[in-house]
Amino acid sequence: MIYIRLMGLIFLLLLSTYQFGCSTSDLEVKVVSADELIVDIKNNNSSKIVLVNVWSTWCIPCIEEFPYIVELEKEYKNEDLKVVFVSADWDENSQEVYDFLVSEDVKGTHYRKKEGNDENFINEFSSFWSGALPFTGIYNKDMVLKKYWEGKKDEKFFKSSIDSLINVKGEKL
Amino acid sequence: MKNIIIICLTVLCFDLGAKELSIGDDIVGLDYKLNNVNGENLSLSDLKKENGILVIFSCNTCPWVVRWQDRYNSISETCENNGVGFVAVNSNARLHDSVDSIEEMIKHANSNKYSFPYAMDQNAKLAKAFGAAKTPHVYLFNSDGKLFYKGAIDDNAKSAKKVKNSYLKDALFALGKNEKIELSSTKALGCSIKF
Repeated sequence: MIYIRLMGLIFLLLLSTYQFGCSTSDLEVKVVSADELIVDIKNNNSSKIVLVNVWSTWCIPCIEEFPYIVELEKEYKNEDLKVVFVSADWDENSQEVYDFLVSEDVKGTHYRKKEGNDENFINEFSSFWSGALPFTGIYNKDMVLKKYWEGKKDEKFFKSSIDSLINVKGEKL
Repeated sequence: MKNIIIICLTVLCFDLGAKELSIGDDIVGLDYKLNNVNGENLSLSDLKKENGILVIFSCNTCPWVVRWQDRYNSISETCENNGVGFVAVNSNARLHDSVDSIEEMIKHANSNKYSFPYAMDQNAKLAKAFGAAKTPHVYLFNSDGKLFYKGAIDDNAKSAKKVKNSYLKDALFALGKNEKIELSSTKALGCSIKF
């Protein structure tokens, strides 16, 4: 009898692990160069503007602004805004990146920068970017930079920056 | 047309505060007081040598600083051999009461056996004057006080052994020999200075 109970307990434990796995299985972290990332964004975007946020697990201002950037994509229509997160963590921190994303309950495709060639990575996103984290750039559909800033900003700043671009009519953006 | 677009983009997007020094610009903040970890007050004019001065914006905790700082003493030695003064400056004003306090800086300098001045830039006055935005970030000035090189230490934060391009050391050797350099400005990822 005790064996049956034990087997039942193990089955329940396995089931709960499996369910946990499912809840995170729709999260993918791709390791990419800047060029690969830009192609990936262009191939998978139907929104008017794309907000790219470069962050890192050890960067406190990045972690602080992360939750309200996640919320932005939910608040705006799909046709208006796509949010893309790119971690600048090193390879040895890949698990921390994944764990953080799980803890923030995010889904879908996320990115981590391929190690090396920092200068190319920085300049591909903005020739004005010094390399300091966090970095946020807003681009049009063709990934042409429209706005950018370095360092943490509050939610209001993000929204007003996004709104000012969403409200630009047609070809001008 | 390209220039107009660049100007428009800069006006629309620039959000960094002070404009960063460009190559060839004159050094600024020469007489700003910096608090060295040995208790002395220093200024860049005190530290400048016959061939110039190197300023590295640094701190105690940034992972990129932590990775790169194993090269600081060697850089200091190269400066010494090429007649260039050297100081590492901590401008994280927002953290000067906590992880970047002078007490923590002293501990950091001791535990990492810093052989050069490591000084607090109160209220980030020097960083603001330079338009510096991140750590680690270097500014190398020549004997005339003109900016000669700025940017990254080298191309590999993780491993000194795997460095292919020693940007800063190449610039220091060039300065020592009064030669020109090919790359006067480079970029690397780093931590934002906490103004």
